[in-house]
Amino acid sequence: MPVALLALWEMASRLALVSPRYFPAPTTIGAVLVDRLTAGDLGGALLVTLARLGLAFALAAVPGVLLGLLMGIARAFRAAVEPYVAFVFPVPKIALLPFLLIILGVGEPAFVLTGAASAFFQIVISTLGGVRTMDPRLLEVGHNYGAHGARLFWKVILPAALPAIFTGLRLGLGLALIALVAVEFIAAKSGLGHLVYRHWQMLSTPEMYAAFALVGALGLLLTRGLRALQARLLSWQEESF
Amino acid sequence: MPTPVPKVLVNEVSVTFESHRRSVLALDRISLQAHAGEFLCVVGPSGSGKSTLLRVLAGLLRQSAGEVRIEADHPGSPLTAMVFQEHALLPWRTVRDNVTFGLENRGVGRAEREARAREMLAMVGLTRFAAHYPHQLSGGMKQRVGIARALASDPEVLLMDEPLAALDAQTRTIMQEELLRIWAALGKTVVYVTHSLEEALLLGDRIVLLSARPGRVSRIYPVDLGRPRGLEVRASPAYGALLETIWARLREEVVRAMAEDRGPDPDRASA
Repeated sequence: MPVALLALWEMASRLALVSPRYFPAPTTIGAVLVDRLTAGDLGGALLVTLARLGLAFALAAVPGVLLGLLMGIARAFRAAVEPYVAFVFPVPKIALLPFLLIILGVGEPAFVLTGAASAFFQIVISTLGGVRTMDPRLLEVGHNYGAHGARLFWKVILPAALPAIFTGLRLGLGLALIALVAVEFIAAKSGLGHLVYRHWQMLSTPEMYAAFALVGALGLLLTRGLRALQARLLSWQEESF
Repeated sequence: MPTPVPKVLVNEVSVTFESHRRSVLALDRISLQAHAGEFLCVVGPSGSGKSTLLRVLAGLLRQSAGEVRIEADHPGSPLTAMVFQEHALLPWRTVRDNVTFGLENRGVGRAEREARAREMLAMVGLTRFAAHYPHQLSGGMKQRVGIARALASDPEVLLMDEPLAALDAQTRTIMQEELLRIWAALGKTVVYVTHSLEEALLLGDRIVLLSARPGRVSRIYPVDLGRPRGLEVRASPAYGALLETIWARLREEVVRAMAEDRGPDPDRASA
């Protein structure tokens, strides 16, 4: 199906059924992609976006999982914190960018934090959900078989929540990428998002589509990687995910 | 015959569940005993609090009133180990690690744990499946693991909460025979909750019949059908007579429970 679609596009572009200027042939885009990845700006932009994404993800994942777990096991803490999380969660985190630019200035900290904020709330909510929706009988098993306190947490609660934590990490990674590309559109002068934007302005469409394709490929590869990691670490899971 | 020692003593135990608006009396002044080595079956209609009683015995739930005592004869052994409905195995642990879960939590060394797991898995016929994960097993095999897990803990009292209810009829029959064999070999005190009177008659030394909500002890029946007991006991006249006697009483309770489910008695709703 995708191959047929690409072939159709290729033909339409070659025969000038659609404007080759706006819709260059996929082979043209592919050639630019290969060419610019090593020699030109594409490779550099990819690395910049990847570095921002890695940093943003790490900044979100560690505190996000910790906060989610803490909210899951400590009722009073959850009651105190949940309204804030629920309040901020649906706000598109790109809306935080102006605020962060004001307090941090235009620069990497504000960019990366916007991406991190995007992933953070998703990771918190997924982790919390994992703890809250675990089979309550497993807690009874823990109690009846002598696992209390920290032991109950490490041996029962955390493993039970791990699949949901992985789901949260995967969704969070995607959200961070979305936010970062948007940040690069708006404020950053580097990265794949910036490249898409700049080539759009200059109407150098093959480069624009090439950068576009790289963003998609980046998301796909990283999500697949996390999936593979999950399949490896959580091989006990019944269903494929 | 020496006077039997009460291994489990339940004295005037009541459990009330408190929710936002109302409180529901689940168990109403239950009193019963199980002797050392006895197989005690608890039967009653749905909502008679059978599982609640087991949870109180397991220490998973605190009674609102009354006293529960379990005689500890072996220092270092846990008081109870529960076999749960639908097994409740830890899905991220292999069969072997599920079986040794209780021992691990008590700090038993690895070598001893593994020896014990081997012994218990052999007893339930799962030696070849030690390294499997629960999702790779059939329902009957999972429940065998649940039983092995409980036995590995070597508890003072084995608690079983409708352990065979989720299995198909043939598997259940086979598991009943297995249970009889294992119980005969180990001589454990068992408190066994079931909704099946036939199962209770096949397995039990005595049957405690609970009434519909709130659970009260309706009557306690000795099961004088001899030991060792097998499936053939079902053909004996004594079995049929006992089944009829208890069923007549259980039927009343079930009908009463169904009537209450259709429309709650306003006098009882806020007991």
